[in-house]
Amino acid sequence: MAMRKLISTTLLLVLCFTAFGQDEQNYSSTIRVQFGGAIPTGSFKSKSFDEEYPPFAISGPLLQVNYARTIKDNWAVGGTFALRRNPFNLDKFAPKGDELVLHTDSEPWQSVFTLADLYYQHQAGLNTLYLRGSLGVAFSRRASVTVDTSFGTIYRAPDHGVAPAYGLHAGFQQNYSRFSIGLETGVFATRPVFEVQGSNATYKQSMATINASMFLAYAF
Amino acid sequence: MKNKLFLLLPLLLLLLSSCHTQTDDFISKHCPGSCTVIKGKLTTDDRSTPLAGVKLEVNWVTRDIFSSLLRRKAITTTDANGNFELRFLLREDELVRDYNNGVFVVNAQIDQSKYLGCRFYEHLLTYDKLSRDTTIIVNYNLPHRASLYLQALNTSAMSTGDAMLVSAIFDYGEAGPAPNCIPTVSMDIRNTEAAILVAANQDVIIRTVRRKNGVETTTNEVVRLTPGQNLHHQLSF
Repeated sequence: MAMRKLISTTLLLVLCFTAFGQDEQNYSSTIRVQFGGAIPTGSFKSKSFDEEYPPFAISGPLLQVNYARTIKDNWAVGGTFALRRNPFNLDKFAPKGDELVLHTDSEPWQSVFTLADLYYQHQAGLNTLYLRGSLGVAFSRRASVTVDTSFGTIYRAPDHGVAPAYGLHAGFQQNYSRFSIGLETGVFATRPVFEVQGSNATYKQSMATINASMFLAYAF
Repeated sequence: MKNKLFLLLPLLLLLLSSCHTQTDDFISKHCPGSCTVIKGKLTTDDRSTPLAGVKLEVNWVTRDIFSSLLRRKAITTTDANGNFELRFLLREDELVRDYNNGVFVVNAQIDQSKYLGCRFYEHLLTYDKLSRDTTIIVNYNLPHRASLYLQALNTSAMSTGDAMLVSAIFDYGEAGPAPNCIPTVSMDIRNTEAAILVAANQDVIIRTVRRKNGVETTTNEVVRLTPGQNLHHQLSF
């Protein structure tokens, strides 16, 4: 009796997968929700004493929502909305245990990306490999820092900047009917203009990160 | 006994090997209050030409037999008129005045092949005592570089006790001739030629002090060299 139940259940599950596999070829659109990390690169990670405004950015979270629609064979177009945050390295700027420091606080570097995407994708059985190039705009915010010392407060104010942005990513996903899971790695970059605190002068700040994410995708 | 010496040797080497540390004092660089300020103007060519775009840095340097520490305090760049301002915060250990206390050194990043250095090339200024809430104004002349090739004549006429000392005096540093930076050579029967670095684009006084038979005489000649020039100059005893 138990054995019959087991065989029946197994057969039913196999039939279901087969049915899903037949439907898979009809899905032209995909939504991916990704979560991972963004590691600052280039001048964005600088903490050089020689620079006027070193960014002191360190690794932080990256959240992406992507939409893609197949237009022809291996090509797809779509869009990406991404939120990236990179904390300010307070430990380097005002180390814990520094006899002058009473209190520290900071808000991270932040960029919101809205991008148009072009995909090249290759199906290999149940797996998909893809390359994604992205172009669009990023709305960025400079990190703010407050350091209270026994001689006064050091305050670096936030500022906002809008600038063109680009991305280049490669991904791999394993498809299970409508749902997929996968990994993606790549680069997001933008270079907003910020105001110099206390003056009318401005400067350009490169904000480029190397990213790695895991995602869940839904095809429809 | 031999084994004990072999055991002690690495320990001795470890103690004698110096430990160099460099730190960046960002709290000082963004001085929140009670700041020490060194400001002024950096010029060349007898203070007539501003030196723009020169990076200046103030460091606190301390060393003992086993280790040295360089703490970077502030950095700035001269503007189009040669003006600069270094603003920094002194820490408690930098205020302590004892035998082994450090010194504050102001360095300039300059092309050493074009400009004349003093005793320690990059050090423009040195302070062993500074206070908080203090402003120091410095107008510093950093000359272009030229050279004098000195040749002493008639040194065979020198007898015991006779001497000829040649100095090149020119405006350098904060105000007028810097005593530590006056090149001086002693010329005699064995040392009849010498090359010294001098300022260009400004007056250079060649002061020659001759001691002959116990009588001392001083002569001054003024020359003016162009940057990079090597002037041959003969002096007769």
